[in-house]
Amino acid sequence: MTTTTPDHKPAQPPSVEAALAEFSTCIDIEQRTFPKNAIQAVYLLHLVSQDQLYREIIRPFMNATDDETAHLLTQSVFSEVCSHCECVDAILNGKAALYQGNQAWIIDLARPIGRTIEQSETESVIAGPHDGFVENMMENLAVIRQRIRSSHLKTVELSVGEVTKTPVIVAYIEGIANPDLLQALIDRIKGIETDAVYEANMLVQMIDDNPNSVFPQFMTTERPDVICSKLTAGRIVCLVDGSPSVFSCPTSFFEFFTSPDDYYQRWQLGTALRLLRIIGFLITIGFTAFYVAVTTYHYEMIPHTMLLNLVESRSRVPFPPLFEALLMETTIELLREAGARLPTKIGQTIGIVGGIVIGQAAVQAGFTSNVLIIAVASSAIASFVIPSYIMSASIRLIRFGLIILAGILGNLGLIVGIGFIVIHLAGITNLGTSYLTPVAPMNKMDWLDSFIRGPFYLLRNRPSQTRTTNTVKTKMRK
Amino acid sequence: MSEKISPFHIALLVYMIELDVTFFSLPRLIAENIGTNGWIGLIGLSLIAGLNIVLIQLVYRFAKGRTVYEIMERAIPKWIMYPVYVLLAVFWVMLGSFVAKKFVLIFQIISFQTAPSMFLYSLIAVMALYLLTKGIYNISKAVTIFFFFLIPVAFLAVYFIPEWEPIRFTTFLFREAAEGHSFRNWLEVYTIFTGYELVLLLFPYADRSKKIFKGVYIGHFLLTSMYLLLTAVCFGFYSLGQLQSLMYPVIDLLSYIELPFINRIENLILTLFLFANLVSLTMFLWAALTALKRLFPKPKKNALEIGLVVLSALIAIYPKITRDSEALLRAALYAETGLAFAVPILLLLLLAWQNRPKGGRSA
Amino acid sequence: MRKGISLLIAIVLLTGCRDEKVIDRLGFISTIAYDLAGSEQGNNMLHISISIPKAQPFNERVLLSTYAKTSKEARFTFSRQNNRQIVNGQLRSVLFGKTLAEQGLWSRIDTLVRDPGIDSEVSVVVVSGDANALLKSKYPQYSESRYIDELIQTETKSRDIPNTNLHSFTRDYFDDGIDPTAPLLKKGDMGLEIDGIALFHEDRYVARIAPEDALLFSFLTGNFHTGDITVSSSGGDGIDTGDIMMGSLSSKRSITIRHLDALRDGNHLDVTIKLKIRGSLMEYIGPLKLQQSADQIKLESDLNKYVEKKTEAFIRRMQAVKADPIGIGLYARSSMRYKQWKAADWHDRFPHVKVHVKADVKIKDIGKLQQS
Repeated sequence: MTTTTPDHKPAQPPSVEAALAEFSTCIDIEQRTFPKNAIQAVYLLHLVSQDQLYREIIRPFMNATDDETAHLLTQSVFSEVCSHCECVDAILNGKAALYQGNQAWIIDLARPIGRTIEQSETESVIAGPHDGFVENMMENLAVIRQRIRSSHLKTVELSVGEVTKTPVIVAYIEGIANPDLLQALIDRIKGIETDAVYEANMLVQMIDDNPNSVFPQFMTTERPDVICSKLTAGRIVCLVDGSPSVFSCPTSFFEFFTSPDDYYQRWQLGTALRLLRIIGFLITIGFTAFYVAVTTYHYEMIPHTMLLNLVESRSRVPFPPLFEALLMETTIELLREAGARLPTKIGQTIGIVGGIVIGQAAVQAGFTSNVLIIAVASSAIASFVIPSYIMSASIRLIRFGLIILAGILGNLGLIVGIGFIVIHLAGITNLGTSYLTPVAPMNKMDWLDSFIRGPFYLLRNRPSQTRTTNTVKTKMRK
Repeated sequence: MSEKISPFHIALLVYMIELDVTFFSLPRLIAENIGTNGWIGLIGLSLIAGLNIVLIQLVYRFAKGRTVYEIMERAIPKWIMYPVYVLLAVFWVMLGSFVAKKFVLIFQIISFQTAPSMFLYSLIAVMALYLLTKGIYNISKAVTIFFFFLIPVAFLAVYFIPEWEPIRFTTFLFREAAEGHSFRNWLEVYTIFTGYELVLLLFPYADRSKKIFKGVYIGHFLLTSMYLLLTAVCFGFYSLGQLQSLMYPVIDLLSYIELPFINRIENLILTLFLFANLVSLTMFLWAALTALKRLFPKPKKNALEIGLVVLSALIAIYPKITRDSEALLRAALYAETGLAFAVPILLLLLLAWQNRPKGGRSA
Repeated sequence: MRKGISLLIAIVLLTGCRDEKVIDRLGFISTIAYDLAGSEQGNNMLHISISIPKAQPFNERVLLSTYAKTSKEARFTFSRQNNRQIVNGQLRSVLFGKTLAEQGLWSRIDTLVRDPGIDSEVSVVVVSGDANALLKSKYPQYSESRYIDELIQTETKSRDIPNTNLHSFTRDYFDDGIDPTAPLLKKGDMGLEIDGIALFHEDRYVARIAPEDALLFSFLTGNFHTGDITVSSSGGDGIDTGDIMMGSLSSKRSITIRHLDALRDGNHLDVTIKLKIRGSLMEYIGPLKLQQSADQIKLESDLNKYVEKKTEAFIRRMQAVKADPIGIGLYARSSMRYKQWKAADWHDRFPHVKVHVKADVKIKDIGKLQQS
């Protein structure tokens, strides 16, 4: 793959001078000259492995005669290049360029940079594999290959960003993934015109169908097992270098509520967990808003046994329920954000300070009612049940809108708000497929693996959203 | 518009168009106009609506993929049809607006009594506009979700089992109707089914490879069973005289429910029925839109949609009190029922004429 | 579109809030008491009191009282007095004085049912005496704000007295084959007491069933699953076998209608009410040896006679006042043609109907002790 910047003519012959000029005022460029055979090596000091450099270049070429040099350069690790541009690209990718006169060879000396594979911080599971993707794309691809030992796992390499030239790999399983969707995805990625992309979550925002939607439209994950299950389901995945997140598509809204855990436990438990998440979703989105609606407009709805307690706890609060709720929700969001920014150990302190001190004191000071604290806390907890951090953040944001609507129009506001969300969701597409699959368009088989997690012998078909021609995934009978 | 609506979504669409604000007064309508054991009458009326659907199905079969407008325009000169389209569009906008306005007025019985009703109406109108701009395929998707919001309400029927006495059904058939039996009274009950006729306009958007009318029948059947369930619950829970005296028996029914965490769920469920009325309004506006699109085939983006919604809001200003709104809605529903029968028959005649064997030469 | 939405939000922010009912600024009426005012206030005047529970101090309440023509008029007066907006969405029970109930309750209940704020599960209670006085008196041993409501709830749960609320009162009032009933309440020495069941002719209070007979009466009104019955030989109930107490009663009622004439015109009806009663024997003081089946059977037949005698007596009293709380009319209606049913008012027919009760009491078990 070559990317060309307008400064270079592709045909410019390689030369040391041109290369050094290209990297002028870069402190990490190094040039090493071997006087005996007029070889000059150019490389970026910290991208190459010193070990390999010594073994592959310094030791052999140090004392090599011309003949020996010529022989050495025929080795397969060296590949001859004939343009300046290729040389620059190679150097940028951690290779070393060897110049001799007008000829140039490159050799890969890149050393892996970044952390080693470890557990994903954002998506952890109890049972199941504990490895997570890292920042190195090739390593991530290797992890996927390790799980899917099939030559049908094909890749397309692309690059995004005029300046960063971030490598991106689109991977799919030939014969399962839909070629039209694949082409659509490749076209979209090629269509990105920006100077820099650092993260998969950033990339997806440039290629989605509804850039103004608050909902994430591509499923991103840091878990290799999830990505492999997406691949075998017929989805297309995309790795971005420098990002531990990998995204898959086409994505449906309900995919964000599934977790690999569901498959590693018995199907009854998996089903219960999925229902729990749906309840969590409803609580997150509506509980506080409902509290506001009821206490502001619909006092009749409170059971009479609860009524006096509620009035009692509200009676010392000077604000209307709407402001009370917004105040507490903002506080919770502040706590959460502070906890996320701070190191784990201090983060725990924040939790204690926030949870106990502020919560307790706010009630005693008459700033808020304790029923509201319960509502706010339970919707915060429920929001963390949603496996995808990005989806959970979107939902938390929407919640504020609903709270405000409920504070102004009571239940009507709540329902109108939900109506707008539903209409909005109905309009979202992902690579042209419906975001609300399998509810609309309806697919019975998909229900077995979205709202519930059916036993494996029932999960016969790949999800319809992938538009795969190879639909059967399980042939096993009970 | 490449995706086609599958029979399943047509079923839900039909269900949701038919389901509207009349739901709340339905048991009273039946008790008043049909009398004792009105549920049997309901089945009969539903069958008549089924016959109407059969007519529409025949149109679909003979039309062979042509839209209703195309069939009409082949037979009738365009300069006659254009004013008809405008009239139809205005009528449908009126019908939709009356339905939504009546919902607002009923809603204001329970809460927001003093808020300006047009303000509440404009909320629904904006939602309808938002839906309309998404196109019919996405409307059908949203309708599916709305359906799943509403269907759990049916399970509340369980709550009434202890208070439910079959003896209150009485052994009399169609007695005690408040004004005796007349065509008009039965027609009034029949109007609860209006809405299915919009299927006529859905032909070009439906998945021709599948049996779309299976969807229509299922949707209609689902609605009928829903209405039957409601009627059965009400007739066993209320006495007939009480049913006739209650304005909106369903609201009373819901207010009877006391759940451990929540009381008076009519506050929530009545609001939830906003969705059913929103769908009715949107679909009638959409019907008007299809008619207007014949006049303006290439409109500016969203111009027609905005125009229709504004028109609907203007129309909705007119009925200000429940009594007026009820009378207007009833009149509009009668007209719509007439259309529902007349248009398919007219179309069938046109089709028979258009498809007649051409002098036997082709045979 | 986007502009439209932001405009709408602006309107929302400006116009909302008018119908706000923030819970801590409301006074919730929990009980209303209606009485006919004395002659010094003029005719048609009502004496109305409301009780508003207070959140703090707990169990306290605000009690307001006024004379007015209608309950809505009274609410204006109350609103002027109270520092909070008075709402009736949490109303739990309505008390009617006996004299008012004798004049007919429908016009009062009509207002309550019409009000969309009031739900249909509000208990309807008749007070033997002055409802206002009952509401005003203090019962230091009980939580003031909820005492009446809790008492009614407990009693109706045990099915001793009928669960009468706005819905069931309206339902039976409108039905031509049944008349409403309501629990009767009175002020006792220590607190409130259930004073039996009020029987209505249409909406007028006409007769009372004593509290000790309430259980037998509820055998007649329908199926139920809990309750105790005590029968004593000393009470002159025609039982000479001793004192019996039965618990965990469950009863099933079935009504069969026979037309004595071939025309079936409904003027010669013969009604049989079958009561299937099952219960455990909890206490027995008497000569019979309970471990013997024969003696148990004897006991059962005595109980049968007792139940039949008592219940038939009730029915004759009901017939005398033309009140049909059992709903015999419903069954009679189902056995007739529409024209015949409509030919006469059920209230006029009911006194002439022959009613028999056939009780079938069975002792399910005699407890843990075999010998006595």
